[in-house]
This record gives sequence, structure tokens and C-alpha cells, in this order.
Amino acid sequence: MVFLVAAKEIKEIVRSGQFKWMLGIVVLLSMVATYISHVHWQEKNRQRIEAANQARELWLAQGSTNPHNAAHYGTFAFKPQFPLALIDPGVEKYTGVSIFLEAHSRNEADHVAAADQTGLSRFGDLTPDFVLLFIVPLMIIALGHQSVTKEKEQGTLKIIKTQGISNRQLIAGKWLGNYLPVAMLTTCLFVVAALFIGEFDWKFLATLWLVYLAYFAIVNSITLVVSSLTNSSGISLVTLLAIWICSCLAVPKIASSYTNEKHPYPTRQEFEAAIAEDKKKGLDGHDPWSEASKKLERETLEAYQVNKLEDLPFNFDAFRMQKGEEHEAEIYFKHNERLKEVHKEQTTVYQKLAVLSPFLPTRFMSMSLAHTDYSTHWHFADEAEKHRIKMQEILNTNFAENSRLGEWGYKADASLLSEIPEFHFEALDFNEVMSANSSNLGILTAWLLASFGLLIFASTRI
Amino acid sequence: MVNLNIRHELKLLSRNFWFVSLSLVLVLLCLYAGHNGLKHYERRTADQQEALAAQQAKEQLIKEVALTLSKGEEHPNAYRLSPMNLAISTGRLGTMPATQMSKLAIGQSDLYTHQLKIALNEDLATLSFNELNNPVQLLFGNFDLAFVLTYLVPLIIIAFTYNLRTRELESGRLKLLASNPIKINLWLLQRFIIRYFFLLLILTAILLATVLIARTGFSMQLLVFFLLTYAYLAFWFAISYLANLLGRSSARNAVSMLSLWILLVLVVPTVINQAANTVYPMPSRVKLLNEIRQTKKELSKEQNKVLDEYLRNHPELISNKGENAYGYWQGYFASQELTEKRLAPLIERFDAQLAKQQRWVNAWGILSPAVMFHDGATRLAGTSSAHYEQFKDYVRSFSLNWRAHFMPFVFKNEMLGLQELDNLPEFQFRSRSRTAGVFMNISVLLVFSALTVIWGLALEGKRQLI
Repeated sequence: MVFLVAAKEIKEIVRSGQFKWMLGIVVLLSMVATYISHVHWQEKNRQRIEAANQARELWLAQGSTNPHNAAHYGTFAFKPQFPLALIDPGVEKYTGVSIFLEAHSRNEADHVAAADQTGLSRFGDLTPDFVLLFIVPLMIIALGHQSVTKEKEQGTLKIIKTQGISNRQLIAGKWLGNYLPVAMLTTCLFVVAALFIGEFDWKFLATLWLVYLAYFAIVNSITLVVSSLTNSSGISLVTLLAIWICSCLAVPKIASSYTNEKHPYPTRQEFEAAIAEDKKKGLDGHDPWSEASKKLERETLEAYQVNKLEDLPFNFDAFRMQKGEEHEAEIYFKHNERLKEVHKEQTTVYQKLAVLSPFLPTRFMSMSLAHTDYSTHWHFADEAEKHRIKMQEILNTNFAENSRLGEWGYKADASLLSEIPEFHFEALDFNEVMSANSSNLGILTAWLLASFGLLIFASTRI
Repeated sequence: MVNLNIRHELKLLSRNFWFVSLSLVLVLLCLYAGHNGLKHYERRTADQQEALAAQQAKEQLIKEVALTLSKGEEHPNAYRLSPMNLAISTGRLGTMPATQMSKLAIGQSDLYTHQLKIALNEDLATLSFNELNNPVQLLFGNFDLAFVLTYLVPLIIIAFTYNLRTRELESGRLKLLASNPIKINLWLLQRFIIRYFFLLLILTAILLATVLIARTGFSMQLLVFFLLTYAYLAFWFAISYLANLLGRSSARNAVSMLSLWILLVLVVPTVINQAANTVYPMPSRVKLLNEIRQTKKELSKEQNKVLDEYLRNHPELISNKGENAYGYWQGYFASQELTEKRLAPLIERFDAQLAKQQRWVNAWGILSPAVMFHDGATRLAGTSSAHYEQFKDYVRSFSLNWRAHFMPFVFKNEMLGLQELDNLPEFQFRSRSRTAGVFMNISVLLVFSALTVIWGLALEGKRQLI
């Protein structure tokens, strides 16, 4: 019985002119979105690989040089482009893609794409996630808002009921009939995107696909609930659109404004000034006259039981440089941890607000699975910092071990440069991503169950 | 007839439960948006005040050092008056103060920084103007008044006008009306105009309340903002009028108006933006990084030649202290200028491409009233991209002034004195929000509305309208 209803719904949908139009628009938009995203993705990928190779070449081309000069010359860490960014570019546009790794300072990721675009970019981009998150739910609403109300308006509901079908079966059939075409379309979109992407981890893509299917199932249930509870198609449509606008546009913006008001970030200028202030208090590798340097001197002489710095088995200048580096790294760590605290608090607020709209958990999971969320960016920044600290250590150690005090003209062999490994960034693996998203997953599931519950309730009211 | 119509409409609207309750919702939304705008403004201003206070404290310290030295006494921090220390460590704070109007449209102000330290050794090519921010917030955008007006108000208009004619048609009253000596299209237009002014009054009251809550002072910009809002409302009323005349049923009208909303507010802006990025792609920033390093490296190899060339261009900086007058910093600045000169064409490529994108967006933006409105609103609020471009340009040119001011001291190895401290270049940037450009947006919206209405009126008698 359920399948009969579903088959009838599908037949009706397929035959309606409205569906053909909408299907045409959605397919066109998704094709254009996928194609353009693919072109941009490839171009950006090429640029990054090229830049990374060139940066390495420039690094190695320094040849025989003073290790500390090399540390100042520095190099770059590039964030790789992840394959699924093609489906959901997430916050990529607003985070930088490269971090300059140099002595004495931890730099922020730079080159935010949004700053290189016009103000219109804030309206959003035509990417597959835009179609999936905003347009497809609209399509579900447009197709399903009248699925029950029409039967009521035309008086066919009573006739159907005389056929011996229960309300629940009828609603289940309607639900399936409305859902299957959308599910098929989504699946096709994912298959096409997968063909474009080529190389990817299927676990991520499959989960992403399931997340969107769950999101659409929620939207579909809500649509049918409203259609069952209202008496006219017009009211049903207006109510559903109001729900759509609230959940997809208003709630995310309210969440963002609210979160920022509750847990604001410091300004860049404040952040940098605080770091500079802390740095001033501690050991500066370049300043042998400071209080902290003198202290280090005394301690080192005592530890090695010698009277003069010249008698130490290593170059004290370089040793001090390394100690200064470690001290600075601690300061950067402390301040970034504080920033991360704020980020975590903000994330918690977002996750709490996700209860208000199924859009939010879907949005967050989608970005997370595509490795284009803010956490991945933090992960990248932390890895780059680890790499920078390691790099300084190798360089300073070489300097300390192979030169004498005051020997600033010392040049290390060119092979030292290749001892510094190339920067490689590995994003979190599947299990880690899923456990980081357990709250989002829970809320999405709760939404799914609640919407089904509502549907069962609504089926008793037709 | 008009009087009758007005009375009829007023009665209808005041007795309409939905209209009254949605107006209340609108009040709440606008007030909340105003509150958000106010908070954003307050935080931005407080941050800036704090930064300015810190900077002033620094400058005060330097003045005290100079004062002590000028009396012929010694000071342990005398080194702070060296040109290098003063121009780098103390530097100048470049600020972009928030305008009162920025409470109404947050625009791009969450993306860029409004206070930035300008130091002598800063590379102009890599100067970053981005604010520290949670990118999720940037992705979602802000709930400000501009959002409520751009996205939500059109929907309210649609909800109250989509069935003005078709309802009469469906209930059979249209035929009765048609038997009266009045043109149906004109009658409908009257109803629309009455409703337009009614909503306009309500919205003006709400906006005034919001403006009072957000404590935005009254100004020319605010007046133009109101006009822009009225023009935007007019557009949606006009479109709905046409849809009413062309549509056969209320349900269809609702669907077509909502599709139009989705198209004009949601889809067209993203398509225009995507097209701008595709037609005028930005060159690669990451590639630029390496180009900068390459250039620097080449110049560092010929350090002596660089300094010679620099001094040839700046004979006023030549010191008469002999061969060894120039140390590390002199060489540094010589190569900084040459690097910038060599990189200028590369940097200009970015600016040129962005300017092209902006032109494209301006030209095609007229396809979407939402873009027209939002663009006008951010321009009035001083938070549009153009304002930040102005700020960036000002900072860059100020940095060059700052550098030029200090070069004689650097090359002559002179300390600065009390008198010189008073003659340092001052950073004074004020956003100019010109209303002239916004009138263009208003005119476009009004012309579209007028054309739509004329089209609607011309349909009289040409179609089976009853």
C-alpha cells in the first residue's frame, strides 16, 4: 500500500511541469556549480603545488649559509587542498592558505581569498554545497507542500481513505514518493562530483552523502507535517518557506551575531600587542645584555662548571638563540591556546544553537567531512608551528655545535638545509573527524527522529 | 474612489490578524538587528580607543625622554629617539573610525581590521588588513538591519500583496468590480499604492525606533538610507503588482513571487559573484610570495649596486661622512624601495583585477534589487568594499610618507629631538560616505518599479483579465 502511494506520488511529480522546471534549474545550477568549482579547485591546487615546490627550491638555493640567517630567511607552509573541498569549500575563503615559517615569530595564515573579492562575495558562492544546503530543501518544499493539502482541497482524501489505507501508511507513502526523486538527484550529484574529484577517500564522501540525505529527510518530514496540519496549500507553502528562511538564513546569522557577542575574539592588533608585551619580559635570543640573558649565562656556566662562555663545548650565542626561540614558542603557544579557548567556547555555543535548525549540524558536519572547517585550519596552524619549532631547533643546534662564541660568520654546509624536512599536512582521519562531530551527529539524529515523531503525530490529524 | 479604496484597505489591514502579528515580528527583528549593530559598533569603537590609548602612552613616553634630553640631562631610554626605534617600535597607529551609520549595515567591517600599526620596515606588498576572526562567523554573516531589509522585508511584502487581485477573482467579486466605471488595473494600482504607503509608514516607525535604540544620529546618510529602503520596497510592490495582473490564481502568484525572491535575492547575487571570479580571476597570491622572495634575493646579491642606485635617486640623502657611512639599515631601505618598485607591476595586477571585478559587479548588480539595496546600504554605512579599499590606499600612501620622513634621519644617523617629534606625519583617515553614488541605486530601483507598473497598466484591455 505504502509503495502504491509512493509510486503514484512519483508519477504525479514526474508528470508535473513544475517538477520539470525545478529539476531543470537544480540540475543546471548543480552542474554549473560543480564545473566551476572543479575549474577553480584545479587552478588553486596547481598554484599551491607550484608555490610549495618553488618555496622549497628557494630554501635549498641558499646554499652554504649561516643557520640563523637561514632561519630568518624562512620558508612557507602551504595548506593542501582537500578533494571534497570541491563539494563544500566551507570556510576556506575566509582562512589563509599559507603560513610563513621564520625565526622568532609565529605568523598567522595569510592571503584570505575573501579579501581579494568584491563585497558581493558575502552573498555566497555558487558551489555544490550552496545547492545542497539551500536550493534542494526549497525544491522539497515546492514539491511536497501540497502533497496532503491538495487531497484535502480536492476532496480526494476521503476517497483514498475508503480504500482501506491507514493514515500512517498514506503519510509513509507520500513521504517516500516525495523523498525518492530528491534522494536520486542527490545521489546523481554526488556521483558526478565523485567523477570530477577522481581521488578521494570514499568513507568521507559516503558519510557526506548520508548526512545530506538525512538533512533532506528532515526537511521532507517537516514539509509533510506542515502539509498534513494545514488546510490550504497556500498556507502550507508560506509556513514552510518561513521555516526555511528561519532555519537556513536567520538562525545561522543570529547564531553568528550572538556567539560573537558572547565570546568575542581579541582584535589582531590587541593579540599582537599582548604577544609583544610578553616577549619583552622574557629572553630575546638577539639581546645578550638583557636580564634574562644574563641569568641564562650564569645558569649555563654553572651547569657546565666553567668560568667563561668561551670554555663551553658549544657556541653560547646559538644556544641562547635556541633558548630564546623556546621561550617565544611558549608565549605563542599560550596566546594561541587562549584564542583556541575562545574558539572552543564559540563552537559550543554554535553546537547548542544547532538545536534550533537542522541546517547548522548539517553545515558543520559537511565542512568537517570535507576538511574545510575551522578546526582543520587550527590543526594546520598548529602543525605548521610544530614544524617551525623543529626547524629552528635543527638550525640552532647545528650553529651551536659547529661554531665558537661570537663566530657569526660561520656558514653551515648546504646539506643542512635539506635536513629540514618538507612540510606535510595530514588532516584528521575518518574516526577522528566523526568523534569531533559526535555532538553534531547527535543533534542531526535527534532532528531526524523528532521530525519522524512529528510526522507520526501529524498522520493522526489528517 | 481613492478615498473609498483607502478606507477599505485600512479596514482590511487593521483587521488582518496576520498583518498585525507579522508587523510585530518585524518590529522585533528590526530591534534585535539594531541591537546587534549597536554591539558591533561599540566593540569596534572600544577596541580602537584601547589601541589608541596604548599608542598615546607609548608616544608620551618618548616625549618625556626627549624632554629630559632637551634639558641636557641623560636618560636610560635615549635610544628610543633613534630614527629606527621610533619609526619601527613606536610607529604610528593607522585607524579607521566607525561611522554612526555602520550600526545599520555591518557589511565588510567584520572582515578587515580597523587599527593597524604602521612601521618603517613593513613590506607594503604583504601588509595584511585582515581581522582576527572566527571564519564561521564570516561565512554565516551578521544579523543586522541590512539583512532584515534585504531578505525578510520583501517576503512580508509578498505575503501581503500576492493575492490582491486573484482573491477578488477567486471569490467572483472581480466581475462586480469590473462592472463599475473604473479600470481594473488602476484600481489594483491604487490598492498597491495604499498598501505601499501603509507599510512605508509602519516601517518608517520601526526604523526610527531602531535608529533611536542604536543611537544613530540623524544625518544626510540616514535620510538617504530611508529613501533607499523606500525605493527597494517600491520595487517589490511593483513586481507583485505585475504578478497579480499576470497570474491566474493566488497559489500560482505565491509560488512565482517566491521563486522570483529566491532568484533575485539568493541566486543572482551568487551567480554574478561567481562569474566575476571566473571572468576576472585573481592572480595567485601564493605565487606572489615566492616572487617577492626571489626579487629580494636578487637584490641582496648586488647590495652595493642597490645602495648606489638608491642614492642616485635620492641625492638629498647622501652623507658626507665618507665611505663607511652606510650600515645594514641604509642598505635595507635602499633595497626595500627597489623591491617595491620591481614588484609594483605584480601588485598592480591584483588591484587592477579587483577593480575589474568591481566594475563587473556594479554593471550586473542591477539585475538584482537585493544587490542594489545592499550595496547602497553598505556604502552609506561606510562598510562597503570601496571604503576598505580607500583605507588600504591611505595606509599604503601614509606608510610611504612615514618612510620618506625618516629617511634623512636614517641616512644621516641623527637622533630625533623634541621639535622633530611634533613634526611627525599624522594619520588622519575618515571614511567618506558619499550619498551621490547611492542615488544611482535608488534611481535604478525606481526606474525598474516605474517600468513594471507601466507595463502592468498597459496590460489593461490587452488580456482577459477578469
